[in-house]
Amino acid sequence: MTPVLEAQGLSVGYRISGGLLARSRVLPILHDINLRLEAGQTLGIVGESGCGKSTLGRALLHLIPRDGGQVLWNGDDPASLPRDALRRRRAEMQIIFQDPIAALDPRMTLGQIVSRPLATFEPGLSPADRSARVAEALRLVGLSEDFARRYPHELSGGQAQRVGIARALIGKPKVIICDEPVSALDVSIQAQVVNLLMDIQAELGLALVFISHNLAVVRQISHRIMVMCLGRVVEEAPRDAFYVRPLHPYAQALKAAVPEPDPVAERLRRGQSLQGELPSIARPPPGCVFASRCPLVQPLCHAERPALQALPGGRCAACHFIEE
Amino acid sequence: MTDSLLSITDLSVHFRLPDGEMTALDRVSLDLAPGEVLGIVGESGSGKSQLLFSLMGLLAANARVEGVALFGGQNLLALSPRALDRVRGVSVSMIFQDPMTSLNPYQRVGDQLAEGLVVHQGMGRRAAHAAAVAMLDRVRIPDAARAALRYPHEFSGGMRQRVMIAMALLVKPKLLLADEPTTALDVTIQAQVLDLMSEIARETGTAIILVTHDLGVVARLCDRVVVLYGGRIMEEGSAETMLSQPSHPYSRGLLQATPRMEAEMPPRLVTIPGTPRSGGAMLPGCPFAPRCTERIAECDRVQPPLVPQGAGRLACHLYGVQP
Repeated sequence: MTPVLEAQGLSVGYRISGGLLARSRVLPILHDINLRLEAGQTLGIVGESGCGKSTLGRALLHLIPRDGGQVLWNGDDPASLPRDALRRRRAEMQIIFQDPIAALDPRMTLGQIVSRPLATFEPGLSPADRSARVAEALRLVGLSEDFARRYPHELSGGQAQRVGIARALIGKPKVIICDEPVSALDVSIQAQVVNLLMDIQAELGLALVFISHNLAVVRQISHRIMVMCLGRVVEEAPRDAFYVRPLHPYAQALKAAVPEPDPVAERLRRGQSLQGELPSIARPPPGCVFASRCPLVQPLCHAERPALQALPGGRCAACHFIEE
Repeated sequence: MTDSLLSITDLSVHFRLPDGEMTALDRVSLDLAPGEVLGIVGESGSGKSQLLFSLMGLLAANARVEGVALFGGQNLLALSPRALDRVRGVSVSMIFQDPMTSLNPYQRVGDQLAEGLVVHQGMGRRAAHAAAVAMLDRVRIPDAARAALRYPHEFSGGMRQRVMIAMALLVKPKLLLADEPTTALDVTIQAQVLDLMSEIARETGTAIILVTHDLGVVARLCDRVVVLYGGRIMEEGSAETMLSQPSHPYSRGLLQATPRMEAEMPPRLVTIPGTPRSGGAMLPGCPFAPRCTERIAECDRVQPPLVPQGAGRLACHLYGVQP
C-alpha cells in the first residue's frame, strides 16, 4: 500500500542574512528525515523546543522549501505537481495549531472560517452544499450547527480548537498535522480534544502527525513514536515498546523528565534531572547531538555521529552504545 | 494556629466590571507552615493566580479584596504600599511563568540581582554583586561571573527562569510564591528547575506556594495540595492522599483526565464534561455542580461548606458528610 505521507532523506535549512555586506547563508535545521505514515495511523513526534519538530510539520505540508530529499503525498512529490493540481491536493493535507484562538480570524463568523477552505478546494460548490458541509464538519467535532453564526471571541479555548479541527476536516483530508494541539488547553479540555481526534480518526480513517512535547499525551494517541533532537531523528519505535523502554539515552531522559501524578515515584526521581547544556543549532556538535548531556557519554560520542540503525521489533535508534 | 508562617482567612477577590462584579476568589482560608511546599491546583478561571497576586499587592486596579492574610504578625492585605514593599523585598518573593516579563531587558543580570540587596538590605554594591554571582552559581548558571555581566535576552528560557529564581532567593525569603514557574519550559528544563526549587527550599527552609495546573509537578515538589475551582477550595490534603485517593469529584476528574506513562493506558482519556468557569456571578450552590456527573439536587442550591475530612478538608455534599 502506498503510504499517505512519506519523507525520504528530507533536509531543510533556513536562509539567514549575514548582515549588510556578508552573503546570506543556510542554517541547516532538519537532517535526513525518513518517515512513512499509513492511513488510520498516528505518528507522534516528540522533542524539546528547537529540535525541528514544527519545521518538519511544515516541510511535510510543503509550506517551506527543502534543501534535499523528497516528500510524497500518496506517492506524489508536491514539488513536482503542477500549480493547479498542487492547490487541489492541498485539501488532503491539513494542519491544526497550538494557539486555537490566534488561528481564527476574529472578524469572520465560525461558518465563514470553517467553510473558507472550500472556496479554494471546491470552488464550484453551491451555497446549500457548502452549508451542509459546514454543519457536517461541526457535527464531527461535537459542536451544534448554530456555532456557524458565532464569532471566535465567544469561544473557550477548547471550543476554538474544535473549530480549528472542523476547518481542517472540511476539505476531506487524508492527513492532519497536529502541531501541539492541546498544549494551551486545560487538562480536562485536553482530554476532550485528544479523545475527539481519536474518534475522528476512527470514523474517517485519517492519518495524523501529532507533534508535542508532552510524552504522556503522545502515548495516548500515537501508534508510532519518533524522537527528535537538534534536527535529527534519534529514535523511532512502535508505541508500546517505546513506553516500556526507550532505547536512546535521550529518549530515556525525555521520558524520565515528565512528572507523573505519583508522589512516591516522583520523590525517587528528584535530583535526577539532566545536566549540561543543549548545544546551539547554529553550532551543532560534530558527534552525537546528545553527547553534551548524555549520562552515558563516551569519547567516541563526541568524535563521531552515530547513524540511525535498524533494530529488532521494527524500531531504530542512533546511538553508539545501544544494548541489544 | 500560632506556628503558621502564613494564615489566610476568608480571602475574597472581586473585580469591578462594566456589567457588574465578578468574584475571582470566594472566602478562601488556608494555613502554611514554615518550610512547607503547598501546591495550589486549578484550571483557568479557578482564581489560583489571583490568590498569589492578592498576597503581593499585585491585583489589577479594579480589584477589591476582603479578608485577612497574616504573615509575621502583619495583615498583608491591609498594608500601606511602603510597608508592603518592605515585606516583598525581604521576606516574600515571587516568580512568574514568563521570566522575560519580570526581568529588565536594559539592565545586566548581575546588577538586577544586586539591586534587591542594596535597596532592601542596605548592602554595599561590591558585596551585593559578589552575592549575586554566588547565587547565579548556586542555581547552576555556567560561568556565573561572566553571566552576571550579560543581559536577559542573551539567556535561554530555562536559564532566564533560573536567573529569576536566583533573584527571588537572593534575599533569603521565608516565603516564595511561584506562579506556574515551569509551564513555559521544556520538560527537561522543567525537571532541572523543579529539582533546584526543592533542593533550595530544603536547604534554606523557604516555604513555597506553587500555583500549577499540572498534577505531575505537584507530585514532584509539593507536601500538601489545595484544589481550587471557580474561586473556592474544593479539597485540601497531603500530596499522597490527593494524588492517590482524592475525594472530591473534581479532584478525581482532574487526576483521571491527566494522561500518564507508567500506568495502564485507558482506551480513552477520562474527561470532565463542559468547560471551566469563566467569570460571571457566583452560583448559589457548588461552583463545580454544572460539570459534576454526581451532583444531587442540593448541589445546585446550597454551597457545600469546607469541613475537616481525614487530615485535610473537603467541600462536597456527597462525600463530605460523615454518616
